[in-house]
Amino acid sequence: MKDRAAADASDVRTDERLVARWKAGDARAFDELVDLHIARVFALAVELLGRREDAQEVTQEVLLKLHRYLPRLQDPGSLRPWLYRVCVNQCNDWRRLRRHDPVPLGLESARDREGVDPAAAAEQLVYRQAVRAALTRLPERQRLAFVLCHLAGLSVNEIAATLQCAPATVRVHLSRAVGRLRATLAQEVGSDG
Amino acid sequence: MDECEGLRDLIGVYLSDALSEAEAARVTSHLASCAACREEFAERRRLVAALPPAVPTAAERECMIRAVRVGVFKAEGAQTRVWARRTLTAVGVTTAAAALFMGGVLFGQHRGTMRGPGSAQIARPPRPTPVAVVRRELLAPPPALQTAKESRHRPRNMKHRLESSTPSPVVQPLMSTPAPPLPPTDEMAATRVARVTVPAPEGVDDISLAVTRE
Repeated sequence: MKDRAAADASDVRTDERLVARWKAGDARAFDELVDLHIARVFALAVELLGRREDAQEVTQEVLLKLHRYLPRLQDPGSLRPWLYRVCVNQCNDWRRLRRHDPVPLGLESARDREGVDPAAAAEQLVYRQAVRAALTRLPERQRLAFVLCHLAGLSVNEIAATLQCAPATVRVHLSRAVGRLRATLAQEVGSDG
Repeated sequence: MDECEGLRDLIGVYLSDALSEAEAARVTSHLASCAACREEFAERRRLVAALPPAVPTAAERECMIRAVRVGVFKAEGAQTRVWARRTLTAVGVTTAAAALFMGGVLFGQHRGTMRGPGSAQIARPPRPTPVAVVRRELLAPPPALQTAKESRHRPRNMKHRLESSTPSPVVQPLMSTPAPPLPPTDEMAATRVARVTVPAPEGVDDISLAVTRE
């Protein structure tokens, strides 16, 4: 927690510095903000949508909204929670409009794993698909808390700001999400074996 | 076992690196002494590690950044056009208001010039003189020469007209300008007398016609 909190504070200072530069008229500051946040927004969108192509579209929309929102931003420390909240809402809108079933990411990421033992890779692929299937069965808030924490790398305070709840509530969501996933996978292993 | 159940709830948060230092130390200490919790912790850590965050490739990153830059450029261009349109509208409204104001000022000055210096208001038409009223009546044949039928159609309010100072709309044009000299006619010749007295028919008051030369 110390490491993640320290990284969180460092990122907030960076956001403050870049936003101040942008408001002073430095257009390159926005490019640096994009470089800073694009990977996490993309990771979150991929996890929520299941398709990399769709995640690219959503990431572009989120960053364009960031550009429109910057003039009204009062507290640079709230930039990241705002960004991820917009990403979650944009992904929900995307899914509602297109009604795509998410493609199992295990297949796509396995293409990149060249030179790995095929048997181990296949086992890992099956396990990953099982985890993703169990993840989709979680309640929405627990799923978002888990994804924001383990896949987007947010701290508990940032997740609380994104989901607009208390940090203690986020800890409860995280604890229950991991417990449910573990129980679901244990049942599937038990039913298979 | 109770301690294991309580700490397993913290394991998920421990994996998220979201525990306080005291709580993390407590979990670490328990894991060192409990095999079952260590196995549970290993399974949960494998579960979390099974979902690595998707990292954009270099091509994906470049594509997204380019698209964002194009969108920002278009948005800034649209904003500039909005500002320009609003500025032109404001200038147009201000110019129209100024033109109306100047037009009003000039119209007021022009109107004041038409009235003449010192004239506070348009002069009222002069009150009708008895001459104008009488002249009109004199154009008609004398009442005594009228037939009974014509006398019946005589204006009923003739007496009112002789006495009233309010001009009728028909007579008013004559009053606003100096009366031109009347052409000599037989009727006028008949009226060149100082006083004409006409015998009034029965039931009618005496009618005296006075002619005043101009």
